[in-house]
Amino acid sequence: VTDIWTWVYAYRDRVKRSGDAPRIVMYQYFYQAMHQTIDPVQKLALFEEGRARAESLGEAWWVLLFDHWRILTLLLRLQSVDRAREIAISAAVEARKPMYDALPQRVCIYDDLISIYLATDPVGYRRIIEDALTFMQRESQPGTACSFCHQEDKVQALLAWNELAAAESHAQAFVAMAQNDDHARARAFRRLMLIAATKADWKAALHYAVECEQAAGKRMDSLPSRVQAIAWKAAALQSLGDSRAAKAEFRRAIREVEDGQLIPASEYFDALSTYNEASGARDRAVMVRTRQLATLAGTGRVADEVRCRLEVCRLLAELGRPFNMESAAARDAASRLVDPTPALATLARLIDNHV
Amino acid sequence: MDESLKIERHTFKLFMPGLLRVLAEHLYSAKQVAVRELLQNAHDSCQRRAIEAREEQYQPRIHIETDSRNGRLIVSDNGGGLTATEIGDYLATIGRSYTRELRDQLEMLSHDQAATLIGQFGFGFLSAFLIASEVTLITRSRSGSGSALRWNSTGDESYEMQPWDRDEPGTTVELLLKPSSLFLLHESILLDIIRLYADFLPIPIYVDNGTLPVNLLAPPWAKVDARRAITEYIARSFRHDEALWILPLHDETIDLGHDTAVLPLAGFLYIPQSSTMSVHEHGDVRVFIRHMFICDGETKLLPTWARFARGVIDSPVLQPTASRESLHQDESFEAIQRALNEQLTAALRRLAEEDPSTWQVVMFAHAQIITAWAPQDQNFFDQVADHIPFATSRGDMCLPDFLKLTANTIYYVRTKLGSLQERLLAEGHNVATIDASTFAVVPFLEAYARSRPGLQVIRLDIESTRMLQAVDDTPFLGLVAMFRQRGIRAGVASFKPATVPALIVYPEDADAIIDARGALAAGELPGPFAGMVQAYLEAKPLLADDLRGKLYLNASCPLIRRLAASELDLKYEAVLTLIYQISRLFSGRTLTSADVIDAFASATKSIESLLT
Repeated sequence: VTDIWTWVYAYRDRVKRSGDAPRIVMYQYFYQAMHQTIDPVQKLALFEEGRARAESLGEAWWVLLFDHWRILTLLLRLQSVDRAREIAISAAVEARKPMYDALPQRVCIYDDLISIYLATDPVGYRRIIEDALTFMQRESQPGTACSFCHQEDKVQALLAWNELAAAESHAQAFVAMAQNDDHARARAFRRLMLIAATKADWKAALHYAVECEQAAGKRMDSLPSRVQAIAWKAAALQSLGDSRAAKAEFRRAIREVEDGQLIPASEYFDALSTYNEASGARDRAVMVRTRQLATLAGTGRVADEVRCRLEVCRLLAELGRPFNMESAAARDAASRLVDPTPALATLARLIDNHV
Repeated sequence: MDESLKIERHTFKLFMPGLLRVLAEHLYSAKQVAVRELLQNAHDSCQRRAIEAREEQYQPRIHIETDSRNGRLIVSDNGGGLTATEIGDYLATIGRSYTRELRDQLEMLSHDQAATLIGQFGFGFLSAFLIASEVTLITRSRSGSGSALRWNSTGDESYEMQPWDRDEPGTTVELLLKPSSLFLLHESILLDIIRLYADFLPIPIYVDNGTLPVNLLAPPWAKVDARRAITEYIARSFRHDEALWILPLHDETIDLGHDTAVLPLAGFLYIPQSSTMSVHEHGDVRVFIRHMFICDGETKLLPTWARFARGVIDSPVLQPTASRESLHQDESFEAIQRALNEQLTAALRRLAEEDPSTWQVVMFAHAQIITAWAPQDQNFFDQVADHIPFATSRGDMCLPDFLKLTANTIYYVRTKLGSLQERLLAEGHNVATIDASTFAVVPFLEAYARSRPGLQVIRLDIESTRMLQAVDDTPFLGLVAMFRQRGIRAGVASFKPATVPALIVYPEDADAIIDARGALAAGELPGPFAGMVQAYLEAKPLLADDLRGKLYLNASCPLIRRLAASELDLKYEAVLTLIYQISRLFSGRTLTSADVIDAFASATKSIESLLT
């Protein structure tokens, strides 16, 4: 078996043909979580219940499959890295056993670990992330869903390390790889959009945001890409001076997040904050960052939290307001990074300039 | 008569701007409803033409055009159109509905024709101003009297009307959308709205340059291959759901005593693949009235016990609220409730008798929800009570099988049963035990017992969520010290069954941590991921001692009490070793194959020493 979905569908057909009620029900939990709910809490509950059933039925491969999707739900929909890490470590250790040698999902479990360390502290864990990416380069087969995840990890890492030229080159390659897969193409354009936004190339950011939204369409699994695309459209349009269109996109982004019951990723808040700053509303940008901090509390996204707290300090400094409490909180958050030096240096610069 | 007591009669006044604003902007909860009202007006206009003109060649159609460049949405029909008088009497008269008046006339002549008309209240057109800052209507009446007309309004008290050019009968409504409503021009959003509201309307709806209608034109239950059409509809409209079982609904004949009456009811109910109690309950229906969508997720029409079912119903007797986004809970509503209850109950009974394998899949798939809700209805409860599987200390089983093991008594614990050790603790009374850790199980068991005289329900872990009871350890200190001298963490507790001398209890994640440490030490993890696992373990505070678990000596066990009361000397060495190794093996936790071999070797050696 070379593809996880081939195996999943073959299993489904087999148990349905044989009328194996407990296994049919187990599969149905998986199906419902994947296709029939957008509520992340509900998704997680369904995956957990399915896993419990798989465990009681002795379906070890399915246990690992449910674990992988629990991790993704926690990581991408609930933004909870800490909980995802507990499951991912345990699953990675379990996956080393020979009984999983033929399980296509095994490589996904390793990929989950990379995503978790990227979400925790990509700079601090740079060495082990680089090693893992090199390892995965050998493991993932071209044209499979695994190769898409691997390519996206590479781009995400390079972006986090501020190697924008390399990130862009890999993102363009990702777009080419994902030509026949809308979901993957949306993710690829999202990465290009974020790179362009980092470079403040707003025309390019807008172009990639439009491409990203089109590729995402109304697919449930592409919702995170879609809302980020709309939010960055707002930021780009505002930066390009089209306030009317920007405002409409800004409102649409907020509505999509509410309708989709999504806990958005940091890139979404980055876009809203950029939009507000470009509109000359720094105080609103502070409010956006405050909302972001509420979503980050207790999730284990240390680097995101530090970046967000530094942004709050910067915005308050630019507004000419005191930020003693905020800088103390930023310092405290930075102490949880593997190497807090760069963040503390940034903070020191903000304080010095403000004084 | 005192002039000051004279009663004066006054009439209410209408403040038109305020009334218009309420009707146009606050009556409806969502902007999408405006599209529904426009589609319905277009539909009724076509139906009126079909009824009134009786043209053999007439082919009704509705066309929607999006003009993103200019922010316009245009809805056209080739229906009956309006004369200047009709515009004044109906379109511009709030609360008066041409469609309703025509339907009232037709009710006496042709019930079928009357049923094709949807409009009721006479102010749906105002909802156009919910999404548009300006509305222009170009219409030509099929009666041929007078020229075509252009009507225009910006939503205030007045409107403009003038002669216009239009060759064909029908009406075109052009809306200049407000900025907040421009999202309606997105093709996918517009198609979703049309399919939601107007999928079942019999008149084809085309969008932009599309050559095929975007709506289904008829409800799936009216198709020739209804079962297949319903299955496809479920997959399309309920997020790729698949039905375990489908029940087509039918008109219900109501016995009035002296006569019978027919309650019109169409649609279907179905049982989805699975449900999770409190998380993924169903029990809701999508409601249509005269083929027009009214609301989704209506939870009061199906009986409370049917949380594992959902469906789609269409009945003209249901009464919508003025905004037509929900239903009046009147006598018709209650009649539909009763009809659904009766049809579902009867069909499930037939399913259990005629297709037991599907029935079993339904019971397995929805066991939790059925457990939770079945006690609400005695008839349904009686039907399902013997078919629900429960987790027990001896595996999953239904109550009749369970009762064969327990001499007609239901034993349960509120503690979740996981490992074999936990199950043994649960079987402290040497009986099979039901895991009642989820909230719905006990009420179900009690309801089961109530309907079966002589059957007892007994909880085995009363007053405690833990099955290990704390005790005064003073009499056991010497014995505990003996274990500690051998490097074993030990303590005392009381638990049943008393024949078990000791158990070892571990931290919840002990296995995972030991497994991870072992994998790292053996170099079994791919290099880069070993670093990630290592980083995780370094952040875990658990000590090696914690991971080895803690031995709890059973204060209720006669052997332990005897040992505690004895002068302990070297001859007890083998006994202590045996107690520890048996507990270790029985727990089944944190053991590698080498550990198991070591434990057996140690226990065997102890037995041999006792024999010599």
